[in-house]
Amino acid sequence: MIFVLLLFILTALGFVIQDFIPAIEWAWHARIFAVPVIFFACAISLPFSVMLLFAFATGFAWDALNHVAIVYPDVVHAALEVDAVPPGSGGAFGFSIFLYALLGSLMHGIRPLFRRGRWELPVLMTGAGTFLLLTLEYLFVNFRRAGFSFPVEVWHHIAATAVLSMIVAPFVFFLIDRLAKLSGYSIRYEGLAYRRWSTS
Amino acid sequence: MRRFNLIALAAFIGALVWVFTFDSAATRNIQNRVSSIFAPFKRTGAGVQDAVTGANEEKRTPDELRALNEKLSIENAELKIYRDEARKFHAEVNRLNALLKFDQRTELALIPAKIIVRKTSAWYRGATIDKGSRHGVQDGSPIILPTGPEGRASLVGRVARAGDNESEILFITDELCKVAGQVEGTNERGILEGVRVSTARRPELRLRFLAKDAAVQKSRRVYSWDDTNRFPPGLMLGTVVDFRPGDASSEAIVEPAVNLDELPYVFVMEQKVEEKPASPPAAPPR
Repeated sequence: MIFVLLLFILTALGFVIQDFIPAIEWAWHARIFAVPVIFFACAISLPFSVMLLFAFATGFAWDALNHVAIVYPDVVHAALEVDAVPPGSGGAFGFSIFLYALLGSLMHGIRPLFRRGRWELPVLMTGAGTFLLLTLEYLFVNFRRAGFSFPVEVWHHIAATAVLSMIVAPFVFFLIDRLAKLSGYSIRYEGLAYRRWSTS
Repeated sequence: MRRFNLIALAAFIGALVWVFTFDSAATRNIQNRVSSIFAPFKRTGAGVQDAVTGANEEKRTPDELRALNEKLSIENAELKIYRDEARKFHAEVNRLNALLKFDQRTELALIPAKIIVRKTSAWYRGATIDKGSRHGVQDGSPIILPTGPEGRASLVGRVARAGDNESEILFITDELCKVAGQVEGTNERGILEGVRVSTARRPELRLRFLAKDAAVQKSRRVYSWDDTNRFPPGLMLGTVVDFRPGDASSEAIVEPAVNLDELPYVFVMEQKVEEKPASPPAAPPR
């Protein structure tokens, strides 16, 4: 319980520091995505049901702080005057909850490795998760704005962000490992279990 | 999968469906509440950042300060002129409204605001400012800054969501921040918007839906236009750098008038629209 509370505080802290992390100009304006990295690390260390709770809270807060959906009435009027299609609002509140739950479930699958102290695959998966998160977000943005465009700089930006996430992931894993030890929490695996059937 | 996990998954799906049913008013209310929770931490963070980067530290020599004071005095005088012009313009609008029996009055005022923090979302370009609906900021309000030697009011962006004490703004370079624009000296009108993704330091804008037979010359300026009395016309938006004729409509590539990299302060244009009662209320019976 204390461990879960600490992770909630850590995630909230991630939301605060996220906006102050500068973009790296030479890396296609990529920046460290603190919130997803912290969430992936939490997802790997928590039971499935608590991970879903975390996905809901993180996705909800993410959309509450970053979701933009606005249609300016003057632009709608102007669009009709110049024979253009009036613009849509550009977003759907709650989509990030779905994304975080989906990617959190993927991370949850490699929990046994993390428990055994093997951090290589979880670190790689954090990068892959960030890549998938941004790609799905971008696809959704394209879908909502009724026009698909995939300039090469999008892929550069997404890949650079994923690499940056992989670089900081070990530090976050280490921090969560320390917090687990500090609060006396043991990271257990409750997913697939192999059972040896008795032949007798 | 354990039964408890299945129940948790079902509860999660139910909660997700519930969130998807939120209408825009509920969403806005939630966003304002969550933003107000994080606002004190972000303001503190901005203060720490300023302290670390030395943004608030005075390291200028007396000569530099004198020059800065002179520059600011000139800008102040220019802003006063602009404000007087705006007042005259709105007096004229109100006079015309009265002639047309339009039952509303408009009044414009400038609200100075500080950019607390720039948004880090990968697909949006915007920022949080330290003024909200309590200070008169409204959704869609234009954000301006005087630019150029003549100190022309140029559009920085628009308010996307006005909270109580803070507001989220979208920069003009964001695809969602659209403005009706007109090329100077012509009747060519279109919708100005940013590009979806750009890693350029100063992303270009597109003036779309121009007439297919339009002819727009480079280096022409683009200004806002609006005949609905909802957006101030004549705001400088940018300069045409390229023109692309199309089969259905043409588009012009526009360089934004404002350098969005260096924006510690901005002005929000407050627009008050006061609906007048159609007739005076009847006196209550004694």
